[in-house]
Amino acid sequence: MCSYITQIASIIGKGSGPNGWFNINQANVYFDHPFHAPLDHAITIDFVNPAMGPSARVAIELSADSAEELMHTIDTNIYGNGSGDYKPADKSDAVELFGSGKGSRGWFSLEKALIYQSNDETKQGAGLNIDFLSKSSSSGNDRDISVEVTSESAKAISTSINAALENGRREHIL
Amino acid sequence: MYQGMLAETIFHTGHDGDNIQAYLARPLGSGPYPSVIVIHHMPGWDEASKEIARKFAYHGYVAIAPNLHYREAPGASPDDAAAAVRAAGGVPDARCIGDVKGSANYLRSLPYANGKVGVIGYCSGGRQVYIVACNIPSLDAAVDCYGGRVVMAEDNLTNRMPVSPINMTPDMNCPILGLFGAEDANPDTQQVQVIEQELKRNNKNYEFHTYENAGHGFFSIDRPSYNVEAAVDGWNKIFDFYGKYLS
Repeated sequence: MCSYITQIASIIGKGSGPNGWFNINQANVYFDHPFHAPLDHAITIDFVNPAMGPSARVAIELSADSAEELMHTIDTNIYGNGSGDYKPADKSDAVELFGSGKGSRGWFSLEKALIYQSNDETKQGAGLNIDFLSKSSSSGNDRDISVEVTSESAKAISTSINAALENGRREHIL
Repeated sequence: MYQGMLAETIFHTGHDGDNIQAYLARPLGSGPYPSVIVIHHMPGWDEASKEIARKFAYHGYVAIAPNLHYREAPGASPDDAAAAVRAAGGVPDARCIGDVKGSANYLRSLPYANGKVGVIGYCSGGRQVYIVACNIPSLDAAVDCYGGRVVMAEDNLTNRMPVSPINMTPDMNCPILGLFGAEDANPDTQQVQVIEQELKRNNKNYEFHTYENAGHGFFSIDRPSYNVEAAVDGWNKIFDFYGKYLS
């Protein structure tokens, strides 16, 4: 799309990226040309901490369908699916993904995301965990990406994904 | 026939006298060779952009790709740098002009260059080509490959991009070749027509081609948008155009 239209959300959380875990305080979401994913356009989510410099970034590039699915699953986890059940790691929701992520060993192709809840009040309160996995990480390799954010932050990320998709529709590239 | 090239990162003076990084690819010979400035696309100063520079070197050009994201992220990977620049609102147009002018000065200082300098850009780089061609009088030829947002609505203008490039058309200083895809949404065929009409109205030297069945990014060999017919013909047109104006 070649635009700089970006949804910028303030968030609270931490992420594990190329250089290990770090505190993240901003999610930049846009629908544009990806860097790694074999797509013409992708929803990119940059989880960043600008004060730590450009390399403090957890990057995810998703097809529009994958991003939409991820958004709905985040929403379901935040707002509940009617039952109000707490969903720990061993009961995580899985979302099949097409796209790329930048993990500890650089860019790799994503296979799925696991979404579950945390209620560790000593850290940052109740929140959402999202693990992005490659095929190799699913079979035990450590090439994955994790993001832990508060529920409010997860809502902001979901809203940003929705706005970026809307922008893609408005620009006739989706 | 012997063939060889040297490709390396160098530094040159850019906008406001800043030292910026650039990727230089040149044939191993005494020249004199024409020069081309390769403006990288929005995903950054990446492998694909450097590959284009090497393609020009293979064809007998001194090619330079300035890192327009260098200031925000010196030493960072191209993707992280691109992300940082995007979050900041993009490359300021004035800074792009200054950096490309710096690249042109650097190229003209090289003993094996013939002094003629062209510019080429893809995607957002195509838009920047249009801008530098209107603002750097010393450029000799420009190639805009599907540059989006040459025609900008008033509410899309920002401090970093304060003027719609189409309004700079009276100052277009050199011949311009435009290569577009009929299936592209940005620029769409209507926008391309508007640009073409504006160039015509201002008696500018232009050559526009729109490929049927091709979309945005048809030169990108590593993306689904790659279109072999458009890309092969497009490269032929680029080398014909530069052969005419940079020899």
